[in-house]
Amino acid sequence: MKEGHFQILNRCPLKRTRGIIMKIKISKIILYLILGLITIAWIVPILFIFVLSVSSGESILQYGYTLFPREITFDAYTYIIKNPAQIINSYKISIIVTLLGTFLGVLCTTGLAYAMSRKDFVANKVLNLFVTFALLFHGGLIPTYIVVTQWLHLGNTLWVLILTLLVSPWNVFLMRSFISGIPTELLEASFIDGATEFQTYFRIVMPLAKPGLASVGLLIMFGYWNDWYQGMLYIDDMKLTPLPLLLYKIISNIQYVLQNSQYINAANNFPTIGARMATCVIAIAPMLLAFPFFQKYLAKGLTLGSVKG
Amino acid sequence: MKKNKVLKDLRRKYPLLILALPGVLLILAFNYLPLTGLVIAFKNVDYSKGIFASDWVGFKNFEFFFKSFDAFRITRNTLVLNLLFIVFSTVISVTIAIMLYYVGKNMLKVTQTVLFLPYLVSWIVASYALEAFIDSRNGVINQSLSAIGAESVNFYYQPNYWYVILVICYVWKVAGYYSILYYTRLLSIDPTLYEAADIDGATTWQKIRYITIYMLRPMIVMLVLLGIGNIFYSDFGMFYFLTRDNGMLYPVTDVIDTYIYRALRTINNPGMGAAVGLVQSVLGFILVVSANAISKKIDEEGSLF
Repeated sequence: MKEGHFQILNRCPLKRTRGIIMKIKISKIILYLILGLITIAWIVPILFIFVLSVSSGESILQYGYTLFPREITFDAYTYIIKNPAQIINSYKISIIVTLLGTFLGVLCTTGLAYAMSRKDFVANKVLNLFVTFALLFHGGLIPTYIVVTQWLHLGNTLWVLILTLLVSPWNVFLMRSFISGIPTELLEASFIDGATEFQTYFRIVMPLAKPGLASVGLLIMFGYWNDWYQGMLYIDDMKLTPLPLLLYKIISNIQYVLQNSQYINAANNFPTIGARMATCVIAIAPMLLAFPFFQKYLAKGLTLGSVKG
Repeated sequence: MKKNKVLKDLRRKYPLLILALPGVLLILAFNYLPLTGLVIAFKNVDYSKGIFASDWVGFKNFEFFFKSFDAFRITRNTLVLNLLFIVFSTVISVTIAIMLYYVGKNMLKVTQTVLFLPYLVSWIVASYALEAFIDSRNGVINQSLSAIGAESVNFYYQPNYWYVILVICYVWKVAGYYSILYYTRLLSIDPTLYEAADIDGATTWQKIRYITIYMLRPMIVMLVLLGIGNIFYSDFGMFYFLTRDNGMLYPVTDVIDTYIYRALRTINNPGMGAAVGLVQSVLGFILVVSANAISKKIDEEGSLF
């Protein structure tokens, strides 16, 4: 009797643990499956853009859009390469705007953020209030449009694409929280050693804020590379059309043609869906390829940005 | 004496002013200067006379808008869609974050990278991808419908489907970003909490409910409040490109921001557009400031700005 009791007592925990382990394994497998499905669902739309850019027109007509085209063709790309002037030009505009904008943007944002982070500076409070209000209250699209086109006369210039996005209050706050993470003792030590404000800024603050510079710089960079809004508002000149705006113009031209000509077989005369998707691929490919390499910095910037704006 | 001190500090630290100057000037030009342009909300804009010389019309622009049928429609669409966005994106990103947390590091890198991709592409690209699904003839959905013999749907002419379409697109775009935020927060949970719960015999669900979700709560509250603070604003690109600015869809997809854009570009009534924008800015400002106050009250650390 007593022995039996013992045996049961001894076995019970073992059996239970085994059961739990089994359970955990099964629930883990289910989790993997769900996450796998979510991942697939998320990548499929982007895959479609790639696949449709190499699908032949006939197979689309026959089978519709599918991830597994019967026939693969690079016609769309040769079509674009045959007439590359516009896309090369747009690439050029986008690259100039992105490089110049990111460089100047990081410089201006960091300078302002550093002055805001210095609690011993008398103008500190005023500067913070100045940027906070700009973050919270917007004039809105139309007053901004009028200021940029009528007063600053920036319409249809390369500068409008760069200047309007150069310093965003949000990024300034983000940068400030990075810089605030630098121990003030380091700055004090630098001043005691006789360094000037500029020396301290460039030799101590900038190097220590490198992760912040990377994160904010990437945010600014993506902002510029993806921007179509400024172009749509202020640019009519095809010579100044950045890449994302070109994508939009292609699609809206096709829309226009399709709506206004029932007689032409649009598929034969205008860039087919393949050509449009190929343009799309050419526009997003550099970013998608580069992304995994700087994902870490970008994620860091984004997480910090939302937790402490 | 005090003034002297201020001047002295400014003189001693003038390099800080120089560093801040370019940023200040740019914010002045593109954030503050437009505020003076808000006067056109009270004017009948006549470009030949110039903005400031145009005739004053008092609140006529506001009256015109609020008496129109559009006022109700765009306000309702903006609020309803934003609420749907907040609810669905929050629930789904929290769920994904918790799943990632339980699975551990094995799948993290791939899943996170893939989920994050849509956040990086523009709405124009997203609109290309959407077309592959909902195109009236070749789209995946209509192909499947015809395969099972059902009638095809022309989504670009049917406003009612767009509640679902927009919510799906929104979640697709932002879930990766928000789930990274939540996941990062989860990593800071002290593992001994779970060990303690194990000893007390808690089930997995109990642990999720009382530890994981409990720990996420301040962040969820904060992000939801941030969303509510911005509820009068929409992502213009999303509504403009996904719908192809299709008038047939306006009953559901026309929001304040697309309306203002049309006031500027197609209807050509900048005075009224600016009036709508002013109302949006004032309401938005009040909401954000109150959201921040509430957030601060709930959690000292949770202040949004």
